[in-house]
Amino acid sequence: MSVPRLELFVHGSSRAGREARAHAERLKAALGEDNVQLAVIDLELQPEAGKALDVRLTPTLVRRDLPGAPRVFGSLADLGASARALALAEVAL
Amino acid sequence: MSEAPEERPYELVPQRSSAERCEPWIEQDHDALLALDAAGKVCSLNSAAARLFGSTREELLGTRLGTPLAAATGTELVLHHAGQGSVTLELVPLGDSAARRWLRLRDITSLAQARDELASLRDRATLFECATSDGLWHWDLSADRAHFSARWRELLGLAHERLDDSIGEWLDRIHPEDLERVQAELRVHIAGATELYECEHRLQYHGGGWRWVLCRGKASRDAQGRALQFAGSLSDITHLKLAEEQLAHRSFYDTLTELPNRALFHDRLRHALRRGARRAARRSDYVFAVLLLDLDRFKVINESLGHFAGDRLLVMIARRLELSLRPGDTVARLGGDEFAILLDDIGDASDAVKVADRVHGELSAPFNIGGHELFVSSSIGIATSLTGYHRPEDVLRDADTAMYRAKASGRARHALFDSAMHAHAVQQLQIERDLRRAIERHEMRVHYQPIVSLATGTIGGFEALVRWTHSERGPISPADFIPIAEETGLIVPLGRWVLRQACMELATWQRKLGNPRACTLSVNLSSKQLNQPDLAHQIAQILVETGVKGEDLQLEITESAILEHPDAAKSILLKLKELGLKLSIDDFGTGYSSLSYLQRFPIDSLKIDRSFVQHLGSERGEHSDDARIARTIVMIGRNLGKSVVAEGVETAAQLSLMRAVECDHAQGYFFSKAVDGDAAMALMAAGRRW
Repeated sequence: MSVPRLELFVHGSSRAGREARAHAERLKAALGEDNVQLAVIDLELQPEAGKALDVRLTPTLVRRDLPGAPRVFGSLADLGASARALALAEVAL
Repeated sequence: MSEAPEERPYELVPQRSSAERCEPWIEQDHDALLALDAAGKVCSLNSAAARLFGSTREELLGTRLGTPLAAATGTELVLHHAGQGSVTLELVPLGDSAARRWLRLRDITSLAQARDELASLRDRATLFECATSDGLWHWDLSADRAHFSARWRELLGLAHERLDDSIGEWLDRIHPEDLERVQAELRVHIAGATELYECEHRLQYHGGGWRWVLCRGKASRDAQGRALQFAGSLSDITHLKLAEEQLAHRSFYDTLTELPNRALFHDRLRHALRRGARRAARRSDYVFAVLLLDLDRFKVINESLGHFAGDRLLVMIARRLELSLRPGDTVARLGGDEFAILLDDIGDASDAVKVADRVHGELSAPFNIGGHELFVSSSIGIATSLTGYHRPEDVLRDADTAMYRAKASGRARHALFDSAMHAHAVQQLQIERDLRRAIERHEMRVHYQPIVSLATGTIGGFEALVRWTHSERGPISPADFIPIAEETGLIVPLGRWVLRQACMELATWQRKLGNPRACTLSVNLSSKQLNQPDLAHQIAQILVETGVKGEDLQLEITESAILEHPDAAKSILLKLKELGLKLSIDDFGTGYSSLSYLQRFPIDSLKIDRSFVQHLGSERGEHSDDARIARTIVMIGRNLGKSVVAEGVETAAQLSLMRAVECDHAQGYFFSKAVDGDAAMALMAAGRRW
């Protein structure tokens, strides 16, 4: 079974971006380092990178391995809510 | 995952049955409002939302944003406009309605930037606080609370101590002697009288002792100028203060002997004068004395044993002088071998004389330096406040005058300054002033005393001697003005003038007598002239100007002038010899009388000092000591191939004795006193024999 692939879109220099990155790392750690893949995409550095998924707002965390690429945006502080919204709860939480 | 804040509960939104019914409501809001369906797609929005996203309403409808998650403490988003920057938004969930999740997006870009800048400022402040070696402090004047940085506490040894948020933590540690000044300066700055607060003071170190600190600060004020906040830095300047103290010590103490130097002695003398003035105002007696000491023949020790030994001797003398004084008296080294003592609050002048005697006694015991036993004496001049002084320099001037009087009367003497000395000093000063003008006023004349060949009895030459007839005071003895000319350096232009005048006179004689080798002319050369590197050039010029040949000119130099700077003197004397000049040692027998320099230096003749001649011809005649010395000098001269001249011959008996010892030449009143140029030429023309 392939592990879930997550992509976190942020504006690197923003406070929200810094916090989201930290929360995503916590989520990954909670799920188990080997149980999820996490890639961070900084739209400040790659302005066109959000176009394919039509990401307008950051932070947005997208699960790429599921059809339709479900996503959450806003505060990732509540790891449970994030995991539920991305159907990650059944993986490890 | 219990640490995450709870989701903000959605507000209830009025139930709307259709999008059309919602439109008026959401359009009234200035913020961007939009609704997401269960799949996270935009299903409704207002115009503000469309403008925010930079799209049309139609373009945005159906756009999948995802599931919104909001934190209870506020949620920030960034709206990304590719190529056009970004907008910071606050996400406010408004509630769910008909399977729609309503959101408010508020543009907080400016607020977020301000907040980020503030955070950055705080970060920098923290960094500065950690990085700087200075301590930082902040005093909230309105709340009267203070904050001290970790470094501030560290500087005072308080890193691990708990401090109150009171400014007393600083003020209570200030040195009692500094507190009043610090508080005054703080008050002045807080009142707005100074732009910056800056103050050096001492603070108690927690571990004990005091630290010197430089405290700088500035108050911020309201529109009325009232100080609200006051912040600044604290630098530890203890090391600078120590260096400053060392520099100050160097400024006021002699580095060799560690005694007070001239500046500090002046200062103490000034205080003594003020004390005297205050006591006089209260009709109370207060007498002080200054003793000025000059070591006798210290130069000889320096030149013979070297400056290192001379320095060690000065240090040992300093210690002995300290021992011979009372506590409260001051002994200082003014420079070279000159010391000064300030005797405070003495009874009368006799107390100062007793101290002078004690100093002579202390210095009379030998000094052992590098295995050499050295005997030292000093000449001491004493000036007391009884003379009535207002300025330190006047006291020292008179002590100096007395010291010279003591020195003139022999070694290990002292002299108390009196009004006669003052009158004499004033007279000396007058002479010096008038001497400067004497040449231009044509008050100077050159006279010539014949030098007779004892073999032929005829005049073989003349000695040129300067004479001064003061326009108001009449003739002034060379014994009175030559030493002053030497001391002031006026001897250099005066000597040059005499030499030129004498050469011009000699040229006149040679021309008028029709005899280019009529006689030789002797001219005295002072030590100061001999120290002039271009002396030979000057003389060569005079010879050219006057047409006199070098061999017709003889320069008379004293032993001490040559031995003052022997190497330089030798070099100059050799240059003079190249001009053909003859060189003679004047006053031979009174100084060092070293035979070695007679060989080392290109000397042609010796002149026996008049002191050995003047007593000849009396009772013991040629068996007296003087006669033996005169005979010895003649023998030395003959053995070394030098001719010898006896000066001061005043009687036929003296002439006879000089002939008996086979002296070559003689001069003195017996033959003729010094006469003017015309008379001298007449003497030569007469062809008289003695």
